Amino acid sequence: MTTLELDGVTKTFGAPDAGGVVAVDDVSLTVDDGEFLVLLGPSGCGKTTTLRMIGGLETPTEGVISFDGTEVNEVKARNRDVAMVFQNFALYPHMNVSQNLGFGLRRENEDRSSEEIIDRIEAVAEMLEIEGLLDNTPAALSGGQKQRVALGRAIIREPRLFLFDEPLANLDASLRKTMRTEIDELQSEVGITSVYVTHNQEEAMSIGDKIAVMNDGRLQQLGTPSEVFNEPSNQFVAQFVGSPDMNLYEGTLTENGDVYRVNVGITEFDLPSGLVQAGDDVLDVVVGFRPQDLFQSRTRQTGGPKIEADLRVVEPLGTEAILYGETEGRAIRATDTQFHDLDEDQSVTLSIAPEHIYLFDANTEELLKGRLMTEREDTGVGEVEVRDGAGAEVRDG
Amino acid sequence: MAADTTDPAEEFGSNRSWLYDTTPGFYLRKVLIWGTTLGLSTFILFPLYWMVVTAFKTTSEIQQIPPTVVPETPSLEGFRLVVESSLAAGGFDSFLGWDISSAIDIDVLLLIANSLKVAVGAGLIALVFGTIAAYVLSQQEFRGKNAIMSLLLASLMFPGTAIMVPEWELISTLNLFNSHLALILIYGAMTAPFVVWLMKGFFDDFPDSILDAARMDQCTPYESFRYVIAPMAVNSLIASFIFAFLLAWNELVFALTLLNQSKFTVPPGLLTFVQGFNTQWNVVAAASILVSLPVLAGLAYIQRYFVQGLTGGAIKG
Amino acid sequence: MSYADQALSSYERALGRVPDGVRVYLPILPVLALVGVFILYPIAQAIWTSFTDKHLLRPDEAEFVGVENYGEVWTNPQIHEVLWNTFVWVSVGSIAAIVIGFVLGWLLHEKLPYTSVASAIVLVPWVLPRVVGASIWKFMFGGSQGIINELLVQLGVIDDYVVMLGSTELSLWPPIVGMVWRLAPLFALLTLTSLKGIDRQLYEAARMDGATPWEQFRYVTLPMMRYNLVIGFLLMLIYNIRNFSMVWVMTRGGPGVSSSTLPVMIYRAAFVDFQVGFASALSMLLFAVLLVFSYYYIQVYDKIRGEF
Repeated sequence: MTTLELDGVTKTFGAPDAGGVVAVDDVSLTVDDGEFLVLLGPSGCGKTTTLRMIGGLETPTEGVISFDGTEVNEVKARNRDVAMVFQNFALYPHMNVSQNLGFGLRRENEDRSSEEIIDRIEAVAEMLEIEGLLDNTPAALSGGQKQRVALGRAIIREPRLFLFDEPLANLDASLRKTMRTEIDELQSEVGITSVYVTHNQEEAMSIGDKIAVMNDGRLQQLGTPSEVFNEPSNQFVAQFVGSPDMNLYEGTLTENGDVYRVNVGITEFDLPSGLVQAGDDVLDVVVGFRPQDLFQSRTRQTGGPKIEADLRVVEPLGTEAILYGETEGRAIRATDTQFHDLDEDQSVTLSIAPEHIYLFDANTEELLKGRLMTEREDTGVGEVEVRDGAGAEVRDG
Repeated sequence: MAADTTDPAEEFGSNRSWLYDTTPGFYLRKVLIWGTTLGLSTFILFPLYWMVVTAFKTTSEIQQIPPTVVPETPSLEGFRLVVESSLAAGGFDSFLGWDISSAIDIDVLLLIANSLKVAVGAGLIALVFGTIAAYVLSQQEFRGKNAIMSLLLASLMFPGTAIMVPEWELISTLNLFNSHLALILIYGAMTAPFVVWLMKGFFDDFPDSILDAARMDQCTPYESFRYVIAPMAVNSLIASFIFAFLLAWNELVFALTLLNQSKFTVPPGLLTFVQGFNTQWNVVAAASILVSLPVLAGLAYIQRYFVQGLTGGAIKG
Repeated sequence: MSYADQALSSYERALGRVPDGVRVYLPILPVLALVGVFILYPIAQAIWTSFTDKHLLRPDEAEFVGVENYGEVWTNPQIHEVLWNTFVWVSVGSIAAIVIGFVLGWLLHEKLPYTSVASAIVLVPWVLPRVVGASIWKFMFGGSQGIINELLVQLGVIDDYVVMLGSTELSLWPPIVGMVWRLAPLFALLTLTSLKGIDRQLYEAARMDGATPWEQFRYVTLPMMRYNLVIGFLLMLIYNIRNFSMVWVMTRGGPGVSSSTLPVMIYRAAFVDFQVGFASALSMLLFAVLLVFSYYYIQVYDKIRGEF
């Protein structure tokens, strides 16, 4: 049972003055006991390096990593009592499944009796439904089975901390979804503090108690999945989370009595000043529409701004479709369930509820207005999850 | 565009060639391929066949002109003479009640014992030192690393004839002349670069995450080596040892120039016998087969690593 | 539990006292020492010896004679014959081994079943102890009971047995045949390995583009394996020019020097005529050629593998 704390952690590879690379830059965060934190970001953003520092495989250049308030910077990986699941599983190829599971237990305490180890192996194998595979070597296992063994190897030691390094990246799409649920359930069951690295935002949304979005070595936002989705701290987070990508348009903001007037070229609309936390000096803004929030006027009245668009491509995804259109020379993406009667090249009218519009400061890229949940919807996140599915696979490819 | 007027069938026709698309061409290719196969196989395999059948001929049969292609009276006489002469040289007048008198002057068993001693010694030296060096060269970055790797690669090219004279001078200076230790050290020096190249390839390909996993499983560096790296390396280590062993087993030049006849290993010993008067070829062939057996056993094991080892990993199998 | 105590083991602390810059070289030292003492140092010493009149039986009386030994290399007609023999040996032997080896490797890859077993059998001539291989050929080329004489008589090429190994005109050739027999399998295996490394889809793409089998070979196979072929070519040159055993077992370089190549001549100069100084000068010649070959070998190696 461990609270994990990172305070100003920085990792530089090579000498900073001689072309050294700053992989992780001043990251501070806290993971509470039993919490499931997901480190999310594009490849090269420093999330794996952060994880490796937590595990003791790398030493921070600056900053402090502590478990339950004790600094562990100089503590070797083997003494931290953490367990890690690797992207390529990293099973010992010369040991069978049972030996792979028992190896860490035996290293942890040489005096542990064989009976105890065997009992633990059997218990874990049962929990993961791999009892039948105990005598196989890793080479004889399928991807999903290897993944379960790798999980078992982590769980069996009942460590203070679980670390997952893109554990599902090497599995095929359907297996990834199953395993995602299983990891989630398993973690709640054993209640061990966990840190999980992924570049897949859909995975992060569905599995994490909290998400830490990283980019270029810096922590962009730390929050619950719903916060990250609805109140992204900046344009990067807004674009990285959610699929298909958010529509972003540059525009201007002018105060007009009780309302702000927003002009983005393709449309113009008013926002009540209570919704926006803009200072007086902000004029240039970036406006964001999530494709999920854009509806055809004929299917739903949103009461917000209307946008005329020429449809270019309709990409059906089963119950809904992604509509790719063009308006005033700018691309626009929307999703809708009413698409069977649409022709490519016809024009449609799209609209969006004012509460759902995102607004960013064009200079700092920081959020001015997030997405407010309205009564008609349940949680925004739940909806995202459903709509996200196919889009996320595209992103992975 | 010309494509508009080109008839696809016509274009297809223009790509037809007599050799590939006609029946006579087909048969010509078959004849060429099987003729070449037959010719080359004969060239490669016939000498081996000849060695084997010669070993099973009697002394009188090998003197026949013209020679017989298939032994008329297959016999183990050659092998018997090899063993007898070794026993005689070892001071046995009789063995298990079997009278030994041998006119053949070759002590194959002693040669084999000497070669084993030298080859195993050199193999172990090369294996231990080579593996340690390979590990560091693979895992660490430091100044002069590329130069060291080039030096080791180049040192694979020189041994043997180019340095036999200076090597003889060195060994005389060190007072190691006519000692097996000299050969062990020289062969160790010749084969250690092989081992470095082969094992470096292994360490380069070794997945880092396995080592990370071992660290996570609370292994000390020693335990990582003992329980994870060593068991995974065992195949490459055996292959390295066999490489070094075979080189030492087969080497003629240094064995010939640095040893006296009393300490000869297999290559110079066999050479002396072959170049003697009245060479009995069935005995030579029998002895040849005996000394080749370890080599053939080794070949079966290292075949997978062969090209990689020979080219310093330039070409991977 | 105190974490700080477990941060470093005693072994790691001891190693920590060695300066960083030196520590990394320690494990490489034994190999470098072996190679340095038994391969590099002798070469350096030979440079000095080649300028003396050192005699095998009176090594302590060696005197500096300047470039006299090299002058003899330049003027001695026997050496000229040996160098010509060496040139013929290396060029004919290498080309024949490459052609035969390449065809053999290609057949193994494309046409013959049981590739792995077949290639193991093909490799036997290469791994056999050199003296054994050479002995077989000496026996087969024998003047009185040699099977090759018999074969040539049967084919009507010659009327009666010829003592090839004892003839000044012919004695160079039997060892070359033996050497090709030994080296061709090696080149075949290099070819086979290179061919295996070529992605099958490239051929499928070429076929879709309408390439005939010859064009596939010319425009896909050869370009894909060009560096490997160069590596193989250099290895053939190196093994051929270094070779001693095939000649020494079969003919001892005779009669006269008719079948002597440079390594055989070095051996004869040092261990038959006892002229160590002169033999060292000849060694320098061989050494220089090997140096050039090795240089190119490393160049090509760098191209293939990039960084070490």
